[in-house]
Amino acid sequence: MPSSESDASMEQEEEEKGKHNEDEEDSDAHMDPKEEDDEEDDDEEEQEELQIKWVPLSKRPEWADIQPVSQDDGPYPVVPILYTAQFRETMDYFRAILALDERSPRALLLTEEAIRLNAGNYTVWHFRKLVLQALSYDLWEELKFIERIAKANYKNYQIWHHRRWTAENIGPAAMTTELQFTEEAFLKDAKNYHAWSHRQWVLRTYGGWEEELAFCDKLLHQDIYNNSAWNQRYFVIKNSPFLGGVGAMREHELNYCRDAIAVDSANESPWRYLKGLYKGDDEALPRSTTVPAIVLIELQKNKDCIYALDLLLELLCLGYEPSQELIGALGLQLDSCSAFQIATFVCTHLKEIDTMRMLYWDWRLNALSNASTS
Amino acid sequence: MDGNELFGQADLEAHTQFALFLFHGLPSSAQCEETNRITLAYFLISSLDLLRTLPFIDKTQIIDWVYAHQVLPSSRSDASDCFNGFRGSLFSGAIFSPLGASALRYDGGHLASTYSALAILSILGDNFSRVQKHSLLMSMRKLQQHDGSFTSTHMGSETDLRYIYCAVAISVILKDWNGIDKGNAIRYVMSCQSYDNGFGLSPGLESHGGATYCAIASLFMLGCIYMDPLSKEASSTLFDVKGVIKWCVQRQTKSGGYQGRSNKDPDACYAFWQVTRVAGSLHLLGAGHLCNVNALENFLGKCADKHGGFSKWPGETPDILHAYYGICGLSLLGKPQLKCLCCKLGISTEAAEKLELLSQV
Repeated sequence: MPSSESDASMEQEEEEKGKHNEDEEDSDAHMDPKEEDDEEDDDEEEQEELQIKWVPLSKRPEWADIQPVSQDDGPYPVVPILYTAQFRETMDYFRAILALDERSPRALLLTEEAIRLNAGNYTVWHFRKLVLQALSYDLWEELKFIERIAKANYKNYQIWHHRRWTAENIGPAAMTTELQFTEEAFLKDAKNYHAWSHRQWVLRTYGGWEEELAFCDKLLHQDIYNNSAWNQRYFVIKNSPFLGGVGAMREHELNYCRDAIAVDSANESPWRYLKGLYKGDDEALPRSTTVPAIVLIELQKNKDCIYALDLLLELLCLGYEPSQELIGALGLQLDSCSAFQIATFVCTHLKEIDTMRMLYWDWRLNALSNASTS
Repeated sequence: MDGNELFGQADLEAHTQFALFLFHGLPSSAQCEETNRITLAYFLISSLDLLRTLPFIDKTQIIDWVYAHQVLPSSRSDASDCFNGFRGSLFSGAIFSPLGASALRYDGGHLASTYSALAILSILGDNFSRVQKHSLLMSMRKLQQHDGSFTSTHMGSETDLRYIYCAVAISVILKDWNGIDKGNAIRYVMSCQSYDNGFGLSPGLESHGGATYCAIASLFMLGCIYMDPLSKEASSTLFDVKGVIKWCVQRQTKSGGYQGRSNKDPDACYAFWQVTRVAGSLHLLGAGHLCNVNALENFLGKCADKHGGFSKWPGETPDILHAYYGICGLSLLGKPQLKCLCCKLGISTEAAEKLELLSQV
């Protein structure tokens, strides 16, 4: 677990996802006529060409003046990687160029070759930036280059970091292309963490808030379970300069949640979002009339609705006094119920129906009785 | 596959063989992990340690190899901001030396690699005599940004909770907090908490199991979580501990494994990876007992390969990362054949205790 911390593990995780998605993309491409088949094919061809037609740098006249520098792994390399000849030689020449600090057009081409072999090498990307600057390279062209590289791997930290650097250096004029770039990534995976991070950066840095709530709404219409889109929605109501903040949006958003919950009350995301509207304002939650109304609607439909019972328990723990209707919806007798008894009933019921978390609800039940005796 | 069969002696031997096999060589498909080689080594060495099979590898050679990745202070004018930690591999051209090598141009340490290097040294019982602690920590401090977050290298990178965790763990291992502004780091961690009580990798982002682990483990080591010695219940003045516990327990899905984010398909690719992150967070919050261990064990069983290792999904090829987290999972389940895992540092508790005994680093 340790390495949740670690770059490598997160990256590998993301890469795993990347691979997974690639597989999906392949099949999608055949099913969905909207996919840009031609372009994808071009890209694949391009990749293949690079594989097949690779000419060793040592055989290229334009590199004849460079003495390659090999990697020194010492006498007992640990976890040695069986590098391909292409990888080894490309890196040998990259090391040589790095040592010479040669910021030239051929160095730029070499970084591209190295990146295509390993887009995770942050030093290659760093050096590429220096070369781009030295050559006063057109950064709009660089955005196109990144798009070609990203196609094969939308889940790589270094690619997204370079994208941000490039957009930062272009300035506010990059706003539209950057929002569009994330939207392309969402077509492949609407939960792409890197893309959401980039999008939030664009909004914070260059703006574009006006359409963002509608954008979230569009994604939630496509997939109401998309928690990333729910998260973005929260990000927008909290930070948009045009909406007045969470407090001002609360009632509006409660209605939005109510409608989403009505579609499927077993969808965790709107319930969490709803509760989140009261984050840091616990006192306001039990005073709300809209929240218990949503709980009541769902319990009347299904008295085993886990998230409704869960929210009711939270409300009770915050001092909410349930209405007669709500008590009735639980199937309890009106006159014989204290708040503690209702909470105990709800918790016991959750323990029975949410069996995966039986130990958790038992723990909550104990906490309830401890609180009542102390 | 039932629990007994999975965790029998033959299975543990297969897991050891798997780790040893990879330890001696990775296929060319691992090229894309070239810059993280020291972290791959950490996964394998920590696996062998938890499996109690470290004696199969040569500690002295590995320790020398790890130190060769140390970036020694350099007199180069362009190296004044260089992070004198450890490299992830010797890809930038440094000459192998068992003491380390001065920074070359565009060369420097990486926070995750430095954490991995120190974790390996701790596991192997090294006494850190070759670690250039002062320059490591002083240069690490330069990686910390105004908002409290860290970049991974002096050349810049994305900043997020992973690197806060690395900087904190490095400080704990070296028993010295001079490399980090703690207050600022704590503020950054708290700014990553989402509306649903989980933590995102950076402020505003969606709650994520890995990020939540980084946050909780960091806050734990930064002294922000108080553990009541009698009730064993955790509390904090900074955040609602029970809210985070709830977020974590709700990540366990019908398969018994954990999802990394709400509504992520529990069957999709990296559900497995989250097992130790979320279960580990629960342990750190004194709530490890709330995990449904039977369901989790069952899930781990499905992902174990009969030839050793674990895969991200039943029937797929096992890999280093999942093999390591699978073994951590077995350890967290309290399997007596395995060493216990120290959740905050990501090494065995035995290795963590040896660290405690090192009087002066």
